[in-house]
Amino acid sequence: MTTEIVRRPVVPLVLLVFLNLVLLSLQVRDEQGQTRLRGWLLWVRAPVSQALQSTTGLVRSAGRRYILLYGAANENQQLRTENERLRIEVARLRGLQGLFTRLPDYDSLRSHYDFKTRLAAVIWKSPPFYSQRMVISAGSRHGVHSDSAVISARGVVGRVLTMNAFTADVELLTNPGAAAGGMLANSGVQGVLQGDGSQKLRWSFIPSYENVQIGDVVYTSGSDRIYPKGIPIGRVILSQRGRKVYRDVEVEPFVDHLRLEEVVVVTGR
Amino acid sequence: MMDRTPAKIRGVNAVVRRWEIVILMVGCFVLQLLFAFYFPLALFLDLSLIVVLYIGWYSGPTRGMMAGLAFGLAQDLAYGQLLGLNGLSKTVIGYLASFVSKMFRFDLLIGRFAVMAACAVLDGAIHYLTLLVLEQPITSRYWTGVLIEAGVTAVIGAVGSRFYDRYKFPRKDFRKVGVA
Repeated sequence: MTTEIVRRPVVPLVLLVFLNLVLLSLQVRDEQGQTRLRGWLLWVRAPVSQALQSTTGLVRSAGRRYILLYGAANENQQLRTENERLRIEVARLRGLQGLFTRLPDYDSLRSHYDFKTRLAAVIWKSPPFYSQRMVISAGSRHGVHSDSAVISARGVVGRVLTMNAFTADVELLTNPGAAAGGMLANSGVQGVLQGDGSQKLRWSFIPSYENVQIGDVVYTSGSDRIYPKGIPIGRVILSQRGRKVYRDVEVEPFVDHLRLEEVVVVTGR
Repeated sequence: MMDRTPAKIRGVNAVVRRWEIVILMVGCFVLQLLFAFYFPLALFLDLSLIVVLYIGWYSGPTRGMMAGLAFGLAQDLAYGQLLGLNGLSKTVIGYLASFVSKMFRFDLLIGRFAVMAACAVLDGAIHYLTLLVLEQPITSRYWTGVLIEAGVTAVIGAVGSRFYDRYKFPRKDFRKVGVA
């Protein structure tokens, strides 16, 4: 029995078909005047080149990540140093930005109250649960003296306890034992604001018959001879009749001591 | 030494020799030129397809597709259309013809007719797809033309190839010759 062997030359067929397609594409042009062959080659080439690029990218990335690690330690150290430097720079710029933002407030404060003042930075704060104190960057050489009032654009901060030539220790108004004379602007009722270590002030010696409403703003009265008269202190958050002849009044200071960065020291009048 | 060449391929030299192919190609080219200039209706007869199929039947796929390429390109030149359009379709058909001959009985006229008609439709389909890919205009009655061409080509191709077979393989009358 004879078996016929018929070869199937697929490759020549493909080549001939391709030859005809090339011939056809060379005669037909698209809207841009390009031959169809160029467009078809792009269709063929684009996925291949994309796949090649992805593959080489993966290989390169793997090489960098897992194989070529000899330079990673130095690079890491350089980046850490650079990062630290940049963070410091950012903090400095933020401080400068805040300072420039607040400068108009201090200027208006200075013009409103005719004091001699000195701008100082807060360079240290005590832990709030321990004592309510801080150190500022102004001392006797800048005109600061004992019992100088320390204020901010928002209101009263405290008073200077001790100082040296360049720095001063400030007792915040919220410190236990600290006190300031306070008054209501509308009724003129006066009392003594005392700190107790919390973020609230107790306003003492307000007669029970006085009308003190929650939300009233309390200003310095000047009776303590430390704080100039008329500086805002805080807002009444509790006002009720006491057991004795005085009312129980609590005031929330306007100044958030924990967020203070600069203060103004009243150096003279 | 035993000849390992397939019988089918050995037979092609006996059926259609190379010089015959050249003559057929030239003849087709001239006839198609004449048809195109003087008798366009005759273009419904695809002479190249008939010859390519015939060569493909009696030869291997390589010779079939090479003949298809040559006849197709010559037809494109004669018709003045896109060079490669018939070259592509006839190459594929010449390649397939060598395999088709194993599936059908060509001693029957109806078998030749069916295969030629099917190949003519396939030729039209390849043209259609190629024109689509190339974004070339296609006439609204394209398929009508393809079907007419398939019918005409199949009838003339079946009869013509049968006669050519008779010419190449004349029947021997053993009663006259006698048995020694």
